Amino acid sequence: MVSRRWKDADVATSVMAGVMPRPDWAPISVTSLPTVNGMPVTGMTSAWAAVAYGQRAVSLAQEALRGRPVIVTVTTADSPSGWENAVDEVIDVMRAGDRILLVGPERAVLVGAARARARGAIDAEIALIVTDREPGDSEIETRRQRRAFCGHCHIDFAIDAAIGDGVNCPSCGSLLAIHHHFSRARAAFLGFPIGVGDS
Amino acid sequence: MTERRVMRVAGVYTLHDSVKRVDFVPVRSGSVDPYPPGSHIGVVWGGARVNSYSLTGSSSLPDSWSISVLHRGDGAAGSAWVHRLHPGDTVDIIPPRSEFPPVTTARHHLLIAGGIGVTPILSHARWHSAWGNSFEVIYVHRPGFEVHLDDLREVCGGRLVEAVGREQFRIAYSRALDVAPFGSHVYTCGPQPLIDAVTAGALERGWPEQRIHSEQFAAAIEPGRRFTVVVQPEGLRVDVGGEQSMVDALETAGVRIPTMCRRGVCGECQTRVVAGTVDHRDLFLSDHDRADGYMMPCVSRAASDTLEIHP
Repeated sequence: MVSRRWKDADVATSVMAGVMPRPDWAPISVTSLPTVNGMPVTGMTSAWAAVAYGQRAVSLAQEALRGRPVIVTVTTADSPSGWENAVDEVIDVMRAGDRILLVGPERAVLVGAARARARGAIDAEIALIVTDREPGDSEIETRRQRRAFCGHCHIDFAIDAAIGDGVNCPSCGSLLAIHHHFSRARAAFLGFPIGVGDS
Repeated sequence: MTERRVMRVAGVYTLHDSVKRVDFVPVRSGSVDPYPPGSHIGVVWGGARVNSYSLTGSSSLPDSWSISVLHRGDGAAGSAWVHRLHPGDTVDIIPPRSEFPPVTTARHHLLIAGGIGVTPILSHARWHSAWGNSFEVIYVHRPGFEVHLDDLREVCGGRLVEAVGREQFRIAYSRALDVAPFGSHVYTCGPQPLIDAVTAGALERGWPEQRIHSEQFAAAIEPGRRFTVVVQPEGLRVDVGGEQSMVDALETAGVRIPTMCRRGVCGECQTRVVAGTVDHRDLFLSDHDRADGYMMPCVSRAASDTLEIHP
């Protein structure tokens, strides 16, 4: 169980923008400081909760949140189930007005964002830092861990693939093209069946 | 043309010196349609005038469409007309419309009622109570104005906080914001100063605007400059005062324009402009509609000295 606790520090707010590149191909919302009438909230009445996937992510989360009220920072085991449970536990201690920062590999933060939305978060309250993208990486052509959805047998599965790659569904064996269509609710890319019905 | 149904008044009940509850049922036997919580119906009176009133009963299994109407001395006599209804009277009703529904993904609903603004809030509370949702109600009213208070107590139990006056409200609202869980939404129905206070309090604590919902129970006429409307094809000239809406001035002059929300939202009063410049204040028309020469005279005004319309 995560307990609600407070930290304090100060640093420039520009860190957040710098470490949270918004992918230009995926419908992912990245937010920064809460604002009122276009101005940042003064007095920092809303606080941030961070969930980090792995040790490098913890450092990035701490850097990004330095200077902001932080209600909880969590280091999770590097496992998908531990990660989703951590998101749940953090949301349980958050209050209305707080924001959640998810830091980790692309697959984890997308899954975490979907989980947060399913638990009532809206895009304006979710910020993401992706750790497995390097400067110059193509968002589409770089292989990385992703979640895909089989358009034939309708299961989600983990893959290491680039958008456009062909993979076999681990459940039904169908050959799937990993399409750039992304489901925010499933946090999965569409695996488009190739050749189904041709024979 | 908006759908209208002839309904029969099944009952009239006095809830307060200035508030009557009126229940409408189909003229012939049969059930009334369910509706989303927070919906309103349009009561047609005086031929073409329509007043909107929130429904207060069970929205999923209604026995009737039930409204509670405050008799306003300052209005255009629609509320007085409703107060003169008797059981057995028949009335044209515009069926329920939903502009103030609960958010289904909310983890907690904070409902705030101010005075007669209790009506849609009661509808929301009934819904949340029936479905076991997390919710609480703050009912702020002046001393003695306890309309639907017993109903709220029955529906909400310990989830109701009564606040008599501004200071009690401020304390109750601040406390509610302190403990509101992540994923909460706040809904307010009441006078504009209450809506403004609720909105400001939530924004100050970092709530995104998407979590803040409100419904004004009375149209606020934003004042403007005086102007003259020329009504074609007759060429009738009608002066519109600075504190008066264009549609009110036209009705007083005998020009009937169908209206419903009178807040620039529903689209009912859409009117063609043939000359002059419009100060658009509605939320309904697209830029394209405006460029095509349409306006909503319930809230919009002239930016020129005269405006020529062809209703």
